[in-house]
Amino acid sequence: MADSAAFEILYQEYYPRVFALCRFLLPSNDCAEDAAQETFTRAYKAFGQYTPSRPFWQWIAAIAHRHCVDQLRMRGRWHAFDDDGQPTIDQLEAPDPVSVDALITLEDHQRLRGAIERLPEKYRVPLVLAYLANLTYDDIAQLLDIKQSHVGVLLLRAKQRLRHELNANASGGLK
Amino acid sequence: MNHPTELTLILFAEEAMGADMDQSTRALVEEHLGSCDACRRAVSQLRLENQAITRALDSAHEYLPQTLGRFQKLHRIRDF
Repeated sequence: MADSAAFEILYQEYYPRVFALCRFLLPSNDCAEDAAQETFTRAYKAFGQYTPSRPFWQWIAAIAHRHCVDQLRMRGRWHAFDDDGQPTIDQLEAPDPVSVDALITLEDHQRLRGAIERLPEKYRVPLVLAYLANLTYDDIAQLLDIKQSHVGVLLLRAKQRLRHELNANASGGLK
Repeated sequence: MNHPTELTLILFAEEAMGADMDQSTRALVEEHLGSCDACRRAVSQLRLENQAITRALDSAHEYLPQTLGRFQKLHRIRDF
């Protein structure tokens, strides 16, 4: 168990980031609040296993995303990750630099976050695990119980959708 | 070599994340990049794209709903 006063400092500091991670992974604010609370409860109980040489964010984010993935699995939202079929690699051309630019040059993080939030779960979850929780392809594959090669496909699809949405907005969709 | 597919370029660009690519494919891509400005630029853009996504996700906690403050007060650490 942790020293309560010390842990409260960590809680105040990291709660927003843990909540944000859970919110990207789960379907509602209520689910994310419950998951964030559960994450800190587990972290508090397991604090003796935490080694200070490891960044605290990395440690607590691992507790959070494991719990969130368990929640998705329990809610029956799980089958989705593996139903994308085999990659149609031969049909995919090299990315168009112009369309990739749309995402890179976007200074408005809120718009990009909005587009990420609107991604279907099967694309959003691996994207968040890769780029917010900083998991490797192998970690993501194990967590989602899919092949490592499929992780790349899901990330590719996620990015293609983001580019498509942001390009559509840039070319007149935004009012 | 024809231009690599986007998936191949993504796997190449994300090797640091443990994306799996066999040695022969990697060698072919490296050889191609040596002579193709467009694909070199594409790999560079894909890496920048990853950074943009990370920045957007990482700043999410700065824009949390107003209710969060209330929630935090209700769930102080002493309640554990």
